[in-house]
Amino acid sequence: MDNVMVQVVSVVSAAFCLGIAGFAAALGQGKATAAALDAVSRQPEAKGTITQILIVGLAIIESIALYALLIAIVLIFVNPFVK
Amino acid sequence: MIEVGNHAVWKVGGIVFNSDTIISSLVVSALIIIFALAAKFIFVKKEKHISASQAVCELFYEFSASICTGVMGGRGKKYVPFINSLFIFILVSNVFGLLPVTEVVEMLFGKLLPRVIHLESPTADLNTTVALAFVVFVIMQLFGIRASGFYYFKRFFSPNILFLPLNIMEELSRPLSLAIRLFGNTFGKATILLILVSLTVFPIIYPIPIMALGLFIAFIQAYIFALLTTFYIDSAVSEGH
Repeated sequence: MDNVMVQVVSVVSAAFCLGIAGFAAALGQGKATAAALDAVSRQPEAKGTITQILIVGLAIIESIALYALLIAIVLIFVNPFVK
Repeated sequence: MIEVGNHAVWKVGGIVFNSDTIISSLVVSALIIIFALAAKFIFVKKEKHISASQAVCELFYEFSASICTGVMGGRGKKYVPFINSLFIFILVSNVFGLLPVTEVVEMLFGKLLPRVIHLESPTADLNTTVALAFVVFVIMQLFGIRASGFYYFKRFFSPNILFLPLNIMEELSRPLSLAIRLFGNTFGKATILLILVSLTVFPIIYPIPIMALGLFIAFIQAYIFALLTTFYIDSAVSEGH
């Protein structure tokens, strides 16, 4: 019974973890993309540089969501608390 | 060895190997080596007119060279072979997951061979991406030490010694995020495809948009891996001046 409770809590917390992190990362990526669009429309000749910076920035923002994915994978597949 | 998802395994003397990942990465490597040999001996000729196949080969080189020189400037030329190998290996492995290799083999030789292992793309296994990120991590330190010698370790003590744990954490989080990013994207795409296909009996049209998106993701992930590696090498090399 104890073990079942731990599993239930693990699954629910994995879902919450990924949901909140995905929400925040999507918000941040949307802001970054909007700013990049603004910059390109103001200065179309700097498009290449802006795109490169945007992609690196998006990748770094995305890594937050990926850490959450890592935690969720650990909780579901290799849970350290389930005996 | 980290287990996520189902893998067919070989057990050799107590050590577990993911056989499907090993076979698919060998196939990918063989494809790349054949293409590279063909490029060297057949496609690229020293003539005045560039053929179409030579243009394709030069496209790969030019792309990686533009990443390196775009980030580092003129001194980035040295690192083009490393970045290019990483980029091509990751691109081909990502695209490999979209090919119906196992299905075709089963259709052709189903009677002759025993049941073959289902081949996924090698980057959909966490072990492959961790290995790639480990290579990047080690070679980053080596390039840094080669560029500025003993002064390379000064970067861990900047701005002062109190930041040593933070700097070490930052250094370790780079390969971690590289590995998890590549794995998460490839594995996520494979899982979505699997779920979509398992919904009906005869899936033929509707997984195509997801596969098109997967092709796009495959390219973007290879590009991001190469670009971030270049940034990390740049930050390691330019330290200590």
